[in-house]
Amino acid sequence: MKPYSILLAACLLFAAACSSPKTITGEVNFVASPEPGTLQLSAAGYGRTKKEAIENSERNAFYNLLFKGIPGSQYSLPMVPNAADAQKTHQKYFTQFLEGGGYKRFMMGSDLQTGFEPIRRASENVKNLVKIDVTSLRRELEASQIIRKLGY
Amino acid sequence: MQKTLFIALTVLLSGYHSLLAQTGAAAPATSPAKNIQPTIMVIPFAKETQDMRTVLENDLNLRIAVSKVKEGFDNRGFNTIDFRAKLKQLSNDKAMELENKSSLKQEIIELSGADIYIETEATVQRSDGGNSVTVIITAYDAFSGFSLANKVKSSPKFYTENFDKLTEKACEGLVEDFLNTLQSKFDEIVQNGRIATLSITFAAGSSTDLDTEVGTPPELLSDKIENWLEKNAYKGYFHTSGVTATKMLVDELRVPFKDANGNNYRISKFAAEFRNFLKSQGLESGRDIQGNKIFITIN
Repeated sequence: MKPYSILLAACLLFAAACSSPKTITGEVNFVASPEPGTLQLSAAGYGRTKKEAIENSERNAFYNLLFKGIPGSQYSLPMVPNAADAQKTHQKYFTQFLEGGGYKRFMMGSDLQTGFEPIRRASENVKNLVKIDVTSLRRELEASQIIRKLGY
Repeated sequence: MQKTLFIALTVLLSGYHSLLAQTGAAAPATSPAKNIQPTIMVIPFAKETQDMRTVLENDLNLRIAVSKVKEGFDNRGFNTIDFRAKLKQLSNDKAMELENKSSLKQEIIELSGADIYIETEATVQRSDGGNSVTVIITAYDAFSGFSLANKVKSSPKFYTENFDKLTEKACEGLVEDFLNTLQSKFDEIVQNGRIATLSITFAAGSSTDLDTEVGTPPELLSDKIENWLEKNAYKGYFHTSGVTATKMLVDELRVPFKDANGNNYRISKFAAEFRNFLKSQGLESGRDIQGNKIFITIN
């Protein structure tokens, strides 16, 4: 009986994690760079409600751009070097930026896409086309001393 | 009475605060010195037999590519040295100093100009499927020859002879990508120290060489030098590319950005410390510095 209870608890925890709006996945793909200094990304998002799923997709896009880099784009390197250290040092900033919606200041558009086959299951899952003003984002990160200006 | 005393105290305190603000006494006494930035020059790619200036002046696509790279630096708030302006200035200075004594060494120092060179190349590709332009950008350290960033991108193919537009298309995203890579190298340099090189040679007629035993206990001079470098290079990092009895070449020597007081650490300071070490071993020496290159001549 006991192993079944543990398995059930693990499944419940996994399901909760999958549907959590804070879930970060690597399902972020480069689409285009329509104008200089902008980036269009397609990002997956999961949540209990549609609104949560959309916000999760937007967060996903910014998280990947900041800490992982977007393959195939001019930002294949992460914007923030040493992600783990930076997240620890500037915890307050990144919590406000990602969880508090600070990223929305740099989001030029967020359009829902259709025909999405999610690799995870949640109450709601979406694919979103997120357009980001990368130049302003970089300037903001430089001004907040999260990243250094070009040079030593 | 109490009320009057309170008002008087408030006025006094606010006056003191405004005085502090004016004199700046409340500000921290010292702030860390700003990092000295490298000087960067964007140059056109030219074959060994070609003159760079002529190549640039005769090739519009190359001029566009060079301008796009410079524009990328400008957008990031970084000033670059203009290659053509520098050439012009150098030839003017030469004319002015025609009467002065000048050494070949001095000329080299003047001509170097930049710590980092960005070499830019734009090549036209013609084919039955359309024409395109390929742009290659390479950044390298002028003194150590270390490659810092390399990027290549071709424009999409179009049935057009409008190569300037194709060059612009090839530069789209390329420059940003290049600058991001360059910045990651700068981050690495800040973390692990600036790259310098050290060349140790002997003056003609010197009775000492690197195989001479010096100090107490006696050790080969080359071993003594390597031990000193191990202790004094930043994070103990240095790489010797070769040692003979008459020459030692350290092609990568890391020096810190800041000294213990938070001031910028100058290459000349490292050279001075090295000369003091040689003096402690009973050796007199001279030094020349060109950018991040240190030349030590032991007498």
